[in-house]
Amino acid sequence: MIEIKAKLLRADSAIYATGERVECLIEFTHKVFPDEQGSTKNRNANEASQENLAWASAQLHCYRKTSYSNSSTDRTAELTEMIGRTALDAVTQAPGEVIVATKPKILFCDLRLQPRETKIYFFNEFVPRDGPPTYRGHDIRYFYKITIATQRVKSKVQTLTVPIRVLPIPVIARPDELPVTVETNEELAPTNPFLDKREISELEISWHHLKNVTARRAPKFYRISNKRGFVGRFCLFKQAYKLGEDIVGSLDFSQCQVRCVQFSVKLQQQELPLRPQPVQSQSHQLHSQSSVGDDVSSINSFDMASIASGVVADNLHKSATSGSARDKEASAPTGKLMTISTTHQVCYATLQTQVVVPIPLHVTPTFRTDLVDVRWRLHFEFVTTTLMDFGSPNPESGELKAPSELPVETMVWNLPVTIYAANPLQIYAPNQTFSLLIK
Amino acid sequence: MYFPVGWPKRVGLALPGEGACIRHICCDAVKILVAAVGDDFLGIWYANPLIPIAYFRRSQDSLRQYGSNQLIVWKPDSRQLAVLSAGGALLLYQLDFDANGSGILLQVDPPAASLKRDSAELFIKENIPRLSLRELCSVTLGSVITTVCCISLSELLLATQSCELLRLQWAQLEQAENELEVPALAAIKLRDIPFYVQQQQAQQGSARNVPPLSRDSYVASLEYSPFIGGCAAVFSDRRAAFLIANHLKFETDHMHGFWVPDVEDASVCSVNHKFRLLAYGQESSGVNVYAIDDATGGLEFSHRLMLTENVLPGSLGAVNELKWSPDGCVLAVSWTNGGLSLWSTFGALLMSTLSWDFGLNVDLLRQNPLKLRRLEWSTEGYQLFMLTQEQLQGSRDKEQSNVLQLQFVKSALSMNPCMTTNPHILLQGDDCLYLNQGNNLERTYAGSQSTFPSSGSSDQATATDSDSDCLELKQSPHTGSILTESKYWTVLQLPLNYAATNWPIRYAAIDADGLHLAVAGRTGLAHYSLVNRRWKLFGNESQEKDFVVSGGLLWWQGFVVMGCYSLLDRTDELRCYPAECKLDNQFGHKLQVRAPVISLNSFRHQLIVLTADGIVSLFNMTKKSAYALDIECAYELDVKSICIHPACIVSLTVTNLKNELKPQGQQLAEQAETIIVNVCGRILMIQRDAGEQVPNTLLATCLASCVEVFWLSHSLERCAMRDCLWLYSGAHGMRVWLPILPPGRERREGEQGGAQRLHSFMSKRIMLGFPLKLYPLVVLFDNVIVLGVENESTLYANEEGSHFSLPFATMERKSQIYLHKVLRQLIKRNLGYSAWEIAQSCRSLPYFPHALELLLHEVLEEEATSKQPIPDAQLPSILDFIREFPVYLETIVQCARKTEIALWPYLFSMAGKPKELFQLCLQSEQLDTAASYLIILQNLEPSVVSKQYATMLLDIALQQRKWELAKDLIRFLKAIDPNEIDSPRSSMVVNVKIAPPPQVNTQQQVNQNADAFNMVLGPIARERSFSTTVTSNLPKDKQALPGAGVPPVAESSSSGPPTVVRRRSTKQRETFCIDLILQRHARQLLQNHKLMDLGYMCAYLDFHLVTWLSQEAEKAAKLDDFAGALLALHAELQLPSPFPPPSKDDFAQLRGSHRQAGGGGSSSQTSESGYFSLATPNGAATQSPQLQPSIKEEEAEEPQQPSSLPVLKTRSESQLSFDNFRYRRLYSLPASEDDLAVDPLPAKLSIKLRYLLQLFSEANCTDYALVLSILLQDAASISRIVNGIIRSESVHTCRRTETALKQLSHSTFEHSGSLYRGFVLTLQPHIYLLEQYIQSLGDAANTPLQDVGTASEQGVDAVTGIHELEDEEEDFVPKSQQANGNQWMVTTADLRPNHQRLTRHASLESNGNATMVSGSSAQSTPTQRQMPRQSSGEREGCRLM
Repeated sequence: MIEIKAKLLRADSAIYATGERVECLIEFTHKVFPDEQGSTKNRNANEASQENLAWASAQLHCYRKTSYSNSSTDRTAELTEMIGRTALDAVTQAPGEVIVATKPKILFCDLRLQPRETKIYFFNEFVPRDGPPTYRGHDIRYFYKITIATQRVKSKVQTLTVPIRVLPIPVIARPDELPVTVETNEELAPTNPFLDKREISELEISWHHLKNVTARRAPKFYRISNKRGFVGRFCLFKQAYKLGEDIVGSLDFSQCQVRCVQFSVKLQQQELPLRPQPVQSQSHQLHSQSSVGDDVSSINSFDMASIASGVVADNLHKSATSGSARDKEASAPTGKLMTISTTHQVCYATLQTQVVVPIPLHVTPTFRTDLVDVRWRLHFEFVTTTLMDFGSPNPESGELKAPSELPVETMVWNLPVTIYAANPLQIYAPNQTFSLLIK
Repeated sequence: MYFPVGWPKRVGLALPGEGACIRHICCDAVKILVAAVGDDFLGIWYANPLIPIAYFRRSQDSLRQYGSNQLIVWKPDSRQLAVLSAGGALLLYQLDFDANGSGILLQVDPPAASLKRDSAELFIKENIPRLSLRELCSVTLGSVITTVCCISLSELLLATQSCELLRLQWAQLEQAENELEVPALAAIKLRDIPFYVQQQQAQQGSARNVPPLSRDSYVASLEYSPFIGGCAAVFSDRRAAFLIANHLKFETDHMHGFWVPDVEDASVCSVNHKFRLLAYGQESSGVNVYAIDDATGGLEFSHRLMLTENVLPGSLGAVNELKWSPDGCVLAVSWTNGGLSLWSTFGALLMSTLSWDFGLNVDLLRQNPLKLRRLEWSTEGYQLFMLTQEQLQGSRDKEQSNVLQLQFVKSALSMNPCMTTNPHILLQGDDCLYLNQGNNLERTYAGSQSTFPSSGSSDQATATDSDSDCLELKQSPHTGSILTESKYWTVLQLPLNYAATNWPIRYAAIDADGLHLAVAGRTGLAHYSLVNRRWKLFGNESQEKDFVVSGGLLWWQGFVVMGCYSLLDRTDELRCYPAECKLDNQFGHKLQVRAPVISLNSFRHQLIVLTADGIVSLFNMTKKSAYALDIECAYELDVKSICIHPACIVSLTVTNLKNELKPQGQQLAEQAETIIVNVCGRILMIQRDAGEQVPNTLLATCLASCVEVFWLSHSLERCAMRDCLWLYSGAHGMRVWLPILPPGRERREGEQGGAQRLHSFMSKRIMLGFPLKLYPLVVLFDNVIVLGVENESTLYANEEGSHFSLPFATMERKSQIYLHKVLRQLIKRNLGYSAWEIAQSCRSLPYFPHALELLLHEVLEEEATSKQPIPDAQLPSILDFIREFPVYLETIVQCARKTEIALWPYLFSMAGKPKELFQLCLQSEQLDTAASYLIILQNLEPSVVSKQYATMLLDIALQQRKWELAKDLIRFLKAIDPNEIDSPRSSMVVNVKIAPPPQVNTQQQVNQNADAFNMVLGPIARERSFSTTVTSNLPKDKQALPGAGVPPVAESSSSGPPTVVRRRSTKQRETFCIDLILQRHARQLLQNHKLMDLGYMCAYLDFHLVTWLSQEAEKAAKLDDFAGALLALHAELQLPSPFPPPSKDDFAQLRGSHRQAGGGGSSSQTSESGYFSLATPNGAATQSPQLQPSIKEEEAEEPQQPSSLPVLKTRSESQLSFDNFRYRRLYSLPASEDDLAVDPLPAKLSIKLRYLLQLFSEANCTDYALVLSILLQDAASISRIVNGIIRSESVHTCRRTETALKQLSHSTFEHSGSLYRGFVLTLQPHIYLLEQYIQSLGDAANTPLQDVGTASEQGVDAVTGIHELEDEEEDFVPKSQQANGNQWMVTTADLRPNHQRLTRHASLESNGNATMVSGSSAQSTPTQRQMPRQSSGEREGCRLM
């Protein structure tokens, strides 16, 4: 009996950014169980002693599972693609459509193992730079697996899969940004073939870029008011965040004309299906989306509730576009919404407070493929009342009791934010060993 | 372990729609209601959500009569409040629950659907009671009431200005209607009770009233604690006292007081019940904390809290508020001049706003934005209400509320001390959990690289090629580990369903694997799986509401175990719920206990429970199935005798830790035998006697005091520090109680030897203490690291006036290595072996060298800077210890480079002379370390010495091809200021004062000498004296001084002249010397044919190779044995041998020819690099400044025929015009098509070779240029070289080259399988050309040269000899034919033209090999064409020969 064990080297987080290298140790052990050992003693020693595997290969696959109806041309194209593929692909076909597959790497051919002998193989592979991130949504799922396939002579192929999580690191669309990260002006020096130039990997540059994008910017202020008057002022310090960061905003209710009784802020994931389009480079879209983000915000900022009551949340920065927002409202699709985290505060007595929405580490950052567009937004609900006092004038002396009822109105507001990947090493997600027994 | 998060919220607690200053905030006993008073009103609020319930505004009359409100006191049952007014009257309020109302401030949605709330969380589930507030009465006494405190459920203690204490029932207050004199039945006249300065004096009987109370002083501040049995009091004359009664009836006769010693300027006081501590704040901004001495009942100084960091002394002002958190873990302190700080129970600073970053425009000294007057902890200590001081004037300030609410997150340890056993940092907020898992180490595989940029080692990400993908590992994979950044916090929010009604979190627990979490709020419990990220709540909500978790919560093998109180049965229970099942009572396990559970803990399968009746019960837990377990009581133990009250027991555990370690065999691993209890900070160990079944509290031994948290490392750990008890004691630092095992060998003997020998090897334990910079939350025993959390702050906005301009508080995980601290303590105690064992077990840690460095550094700093002589210096033993490890040399130098230069002499007097250490580095080939020593040498020694050593190292570095290092060394050498070369180091002067402590007597003498010497003569004389002994370092010099007995004055005078001389000479030598070394090395490399190294050397070291080579052209750059050189080069470049042994047959030859074709292909491909020597089409023309007169005609013709086709029509003309460009084009065509399968000369290598070729040809080193061209199989280059040689008109060179080529072709043909067989054939015309030329110059040439020529001519065929005599035209053609045909054979002249054309044709079609040959032969033709003319011109010369 042969046991195959696969263990990712990065034990503390089975998470990789696109363009990173997955490293995996694969262990083949000839296992001898005590009862079996007894029986083998009786038999011919030679016969039982050796175990044999014809070959083993390892490969990284990205799968897609979707409920979107793919156009029939796609199907046929896939089917034709299937023709001429190796048997291993057919085996791995099971969980979904393979959309990215790396070249299979042969670990060995004709492996012979003595009892209790163990051989360890080291597999590494770059996570494809242009693949989608791991994502589990309503209608579509993307996931990555390392498939280790092996076969005994005259038996069928057996596979062991090791799931990994992939985070998207946006590819930089503008290569002229590259020299920004180079510290020295080595470019100017003549090239001597004997001098090794330190090459900056593309991933590294992207990471620098990502850090720049998610750095704190000048705060943006938003005046919140409804038809009855000024409610408060919201301030957000940046629009782009990394996983694991807190979205920090401040709310100032002082000098309000309408009392905000309570509010809640939800971090929501929007899954917008896209019509199957001709495949575009995903990277470009990822990049362009961040720049488009601001425009989208002005379109989506106000939704039904505030409009019905004739409330226009007065966005200090976008005041010009807020008026026209109403007309465009209908056209903006919301897609499937998923609320990831919620903060709720009763702010009856609060004059100044803060909104801290943690971005969980397990969510998928903003990304877009040819089938789906995943975005993030903050969804605000403010419960307001015009009752600034207890409904009766404050007494000169004596008791003042709180009224039993408080008429409230609710207004909602959406503010898009962009979420980027974090450094996978800083995320704690221990992975276990995956094993397979071949009898 | 409280950490603030975010900004403080600003809340308005005034009457709705108004703004007013709040005077005091007070939470009721159960922390559900909050009372706040302004000047004229009292407001009652619900604590969470913070919603007003009722207000009462006092009438103007009342205000006038009694003054404004000052202080609130709640009755413990929350039914009544007393408000103390400024006029010293007590106003009593009654709070009644209004049963008929359904609640207050119920939010009503409008009819319009779009305006309705739709999120669940917006519907507040909390049932806020409707309360009515009315004034009962106001009470005045004869004198003004100064302060009030509540001492029991029904009683109040009032202090009056007449220095009396009054004990009153709440009921009495009620009866005492308006302004009636209260019957002063329980008035304690403080002036009449004895005050002691110290308890000892009382025992001595000198019960004097020393020093007496002053006439008009009264109690200004008072706080009572039942566990202490007395009050902390501060008098109006700023004296602090502790008032205590002999029994609980406070009566004048039975009361006495203690003056708190050393506190003469007290301002406030506060009492910690759980740890029985009294804290007195002082005007001098310090806080003194006292414990109760159990033996005497008096005060015992515990520690002092004094903010020193980021604070100017005296700038803080008086302490104006002290507040212990509800769980007694934290003390909040604020000062009159602004600022807030948090301290742990025993004085570790957790947070101080004075170290926050407020931005540039805030001057904390003058205008601290956080000037606080009052503090109040809210429920469970998650919030701190802070009342800011009223701003002086301003219209806006009126409206601004002065109440801030700061949110806190606390460690799970504070409520649930059994959480010390797991390696995760778990913090709990009021409705969320912060989790930080994983240590700082990232495992790496030795042969791989982590590609993520921030991990630090990404620079060689592209260096290794991707071919090494799947390799078999021979042995178990060697995985190292690197330090990574700390992980992100995982923030878990409590599910809304649970949090809405059970706010806040009271207990939180995580299991050891970090996969399951459990939380318990006000009622019930919920748990969470980190694997599937799901919460599990009670399906039946009434079950959730029916019990309250108390005493603790822990995970045990997939079960969550807790102590709880069942509201349904009104019983106290232990409950267990399996994690895998639905959370339901039917799966739970219940065990009734007699009294409320106070604390619990588990060890392996044992559960230890402390109940409120003072009984510790030990249970055995057995897992019956995945969903069921069994709990059985093993024994009970009464611990009432060791504590005042069970609530004073902070934490407890059961373990098999022992005072004295018995050998492994006798230990019962299953049954833990020792109970460790933390009572008010004292660690007691209760051991079980050998014979007894139950441990005895009488056998309790006190191990330590002032302990906040303790950890136990069990024997499961890998580290040598097994079975240790770790104690953290706040300001007193960390302590570890570890067993000292005898050395391994003895231990083994001891085990083998019988029981009679055992006792002599019985190991002992030792307590070691060391300071820690952070508050430890987790001790990772394996990684010898402590993890903690630190409060950090970031400034988000600098908006003036807004409270968002305050810093935003965040938490950061920090870690600290403690290995070096433990090692140092052990070494100090002469337990070097134990230290060594511990260190040995930690060697694989990436920061182990760093720890050693820290160890050395600490000791060095301490000893070298101490003012007093150190009786027994620790440094030598530390150094001996470090010497045990291979990183010794590195550690010393790293440490030295991080310390002041002034301390170096002390270090090196112990560690060995830097020169010797340098030598050691060289011996052990630690060149980089040696380089580090150079900097030391440079500072300690005259420059000559450091220069000498640097030169030495440079030599070795060159030899070992450490180019980067060599580069640095050259920079170092060049940077030495020649003027400085003999001046002594100024540091030497400084450090004489802190010379090494004497070890040997003679050295002591030296020391005195040096000191005296320094005093008398001053530094200048000293300076000069050093320059005399050039090679000596400090110790040597010192020894020399007394030994020689030469008066230093004489020395200094004598040393003057020689230095000047030396200075001059060295200046010249300076650069010359370096160049010399480099040249010597370059020569060596050249002689050994190590061209690659030469290339690297000049690339890294800025060595001008061309200049040097042109000097060396006739010396080292000459080659005698071409074939040998080629062979050597092949060996160096790890190419297959050019002349394989003949045993290799056709196959080898075939491969060789393929190889050759491939080489041609690659050369044409890599020509884009710019180093391709043929890049310019008319390169040959430009390179011939000194053409022979005979060729000049040809040269004129050349440009006329650039358009002629490569296909030859008239052979003479077309061959001439066959320029490089065409050659290349034709040539590369088939190569790129067909030869992809053949392995070419690696591209990178070929670029390098071309670069070298360029350099060599520039420097006119024809020999090497030829060899390189052959290696590159670059025929064009060869022809250019040959041309150049001919143009140089040197018969000698020509002859040499000719010989060389001949020799080469000879050796090529000797070995049939040679790589160059094909290529060498194309060289034949060149040889011929040279021969012709030599012949033409023959008359000029002298005989010996010819001899050489003929001697080496053996290899050349006789054929050439024959053809020499024939007509030149005829002679030349066959040769090219021969080359084309790839065979050595004479062909007839008439066949030639056709043949050639045919061959070319064929080659263009398919055969790359042939093309290459023919191409190169065609290429070589121009020179061949030239040659006949020359030779015809010089026919006589030929004939002569």
